[in-house]
Amino acid sequence: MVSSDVPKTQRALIFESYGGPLEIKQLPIPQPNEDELLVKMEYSGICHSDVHTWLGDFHYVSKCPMIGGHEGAGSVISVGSKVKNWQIGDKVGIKLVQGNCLNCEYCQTGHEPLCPHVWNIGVQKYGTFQEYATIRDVDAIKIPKSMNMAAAAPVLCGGVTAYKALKESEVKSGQIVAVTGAGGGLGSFAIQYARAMGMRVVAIDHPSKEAHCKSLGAEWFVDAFGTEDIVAHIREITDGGAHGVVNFAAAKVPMEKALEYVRKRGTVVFVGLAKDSKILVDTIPLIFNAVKIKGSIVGSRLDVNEAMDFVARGAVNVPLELVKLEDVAEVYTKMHDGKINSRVVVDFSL
Amino acid sequence: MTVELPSTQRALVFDTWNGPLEVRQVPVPSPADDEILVKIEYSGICHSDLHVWLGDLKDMSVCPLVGGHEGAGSVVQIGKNVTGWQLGDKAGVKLMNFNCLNCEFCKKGHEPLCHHIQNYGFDRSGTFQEYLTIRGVDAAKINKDTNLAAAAPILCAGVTVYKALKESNVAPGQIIVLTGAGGGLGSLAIQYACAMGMRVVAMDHGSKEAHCKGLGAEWFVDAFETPDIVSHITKLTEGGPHGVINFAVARKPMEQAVEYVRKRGTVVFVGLPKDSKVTFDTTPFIFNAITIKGSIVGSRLDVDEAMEFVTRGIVKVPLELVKLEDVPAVYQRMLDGKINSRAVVDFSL
Repeated sequence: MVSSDVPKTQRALIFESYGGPLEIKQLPIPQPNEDELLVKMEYSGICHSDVHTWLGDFHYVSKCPMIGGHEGAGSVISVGSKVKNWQIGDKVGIKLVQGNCLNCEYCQTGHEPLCPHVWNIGVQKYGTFQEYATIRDVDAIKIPKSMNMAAAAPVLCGGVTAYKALKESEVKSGQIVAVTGAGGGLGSFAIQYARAMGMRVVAIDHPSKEAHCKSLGAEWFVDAFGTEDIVAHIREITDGGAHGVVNFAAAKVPMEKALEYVRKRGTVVFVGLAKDSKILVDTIPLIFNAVKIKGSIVGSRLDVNEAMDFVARGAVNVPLELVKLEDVAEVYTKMHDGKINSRVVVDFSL
Repeated sequence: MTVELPSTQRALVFDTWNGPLEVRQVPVPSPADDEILVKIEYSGICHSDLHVWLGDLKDMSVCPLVGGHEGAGSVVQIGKNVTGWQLGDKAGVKLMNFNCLNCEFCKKGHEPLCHHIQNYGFDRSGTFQEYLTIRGVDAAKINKDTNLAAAAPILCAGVTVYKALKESNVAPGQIIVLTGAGGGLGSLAIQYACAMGMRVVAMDHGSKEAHCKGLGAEWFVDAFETPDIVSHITKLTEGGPHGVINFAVARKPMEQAVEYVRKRGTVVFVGLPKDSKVTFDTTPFIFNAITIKGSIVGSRLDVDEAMEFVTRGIVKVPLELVKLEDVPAVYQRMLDGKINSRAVVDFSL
């Protein structure tokens, strides 16, 4: 089934070399395979990992030239012959991880990002910074019809990543979670999800983010740069340490500090990908305090569905900034400078 | 209630870190109202006893000291406020005692994390003496049918490995790697792991292969001679073990474990190396959704569970009985990696 008004070409934001110019070009519109959907992109979130991909920080797994973007939200305009359960006009999300085999031990146990067969759109295959994209039907995320599509887009990576990390922290409702890089894109989501999940939040970031973090629901704010002895300070305000720490700050020091102020038997979850990624861990206090360190990366389709539901029912409501496709390069610069206080989303109608 | 007791007893004392270990006559203590007096019949010897004596754990131990924290014996005196104990009952004296029972960690059963605990053989006199007092609530009940010599090492080593195996999240049928598998902790861990339905990769010095296989390890990996241990184990286990428990007291096996553990697997650190700071790369750690945990002994309930495996004969403790005077020689053999079983002091020798 084909919608009648599909143009022959589309705008796409493409870079030819790492760190090179981000140019909008006219490209052919892809045709869906028999198990795929063709989606007209209405919104696409912009992630820090998009910046890293463009800069070449993931050159060992990424491809170039590339169209970035992996938080696409739009509508179905064409359906392959073997596709079931999708209709033209359905609202659909396109997320980072695609191509799950659905058969290995990781897919079978719901740890889909760990499947050895997956590829990542915006990293290894053309992503969502284009007006039309194809996606396998089983990979596509159903978005409720009543949902704000601009708000849905960032949940597909930023939202689910924050939500999954909070689940991995094992922090229960009523307990305290510390969030580093709390005022950034992922941190902003995490504060809201943590509150929606009943956690009490210590937000740690640059002091310019204090008002933002408090407005999102953080109970405490800690200046990551100006606080003299951050370990002692956090232990004091939390009366023994945070029950969990979710680390979005992409730097070595906050990762190492978290191990010192997490409560006995607490969990530190690493999410932010530091360039200087090797950290030093003293195993003596780790053992004596029965501390746990976990790595967490995006989430499964079910995690996305759950994360989406929080937003759909208004329990999670992260401020959005809508920009044009042409503005992505400028947004990358602001991200790099830590000047983004919300989720930035490309609105393809602008 | 009283039985006839001597006024003094033999105890193994050291006055300085790494100084002479001397058997001396010291007074027999009297139990307080909430304590029992235990006649120690056996006491296991732990690597941590060695570390305490060497001075490696100065910030949590005192000197002079009587070491030992795996005491098994019988009740010979009972304080007037003690309930639940009878003269002649078999009792275990473990490392961690004096839980406040009131903090969040005690209430949740994470008793080793209580801020108020005292450690026998660390910051107060331990089980390398013939008579010792312990709070009634702290003493472990040992089944009358349990071999007391085999029960002793469970009080620290046994519960430590059992707890670590639980923390590993490895399910029955899945694969676990044990580093330092042929040592005191590792030997017990192989048996507990098999008893819990896990498949075991034992990693240690080549001289320990027969021992590890004899205890139930399905695979053995020579930790020193195997080139590229990471790819070897990854291949052997078809993608990496589901969990790793690190008993080896060295940095390299700890760091390697994070590299070969399966995606979404768990690495549990137990062994306390002198050079305790390890480096790992957080990027693959995040992409593979790996977990690292610290684990330390266990709660009273963990002790009871671990003891039950021994009582049922599912876990057999290879024992080497020694005299109290032999402890220094045992420490030396531990340092030389020459202990294949649990060395236990038999106070009747």
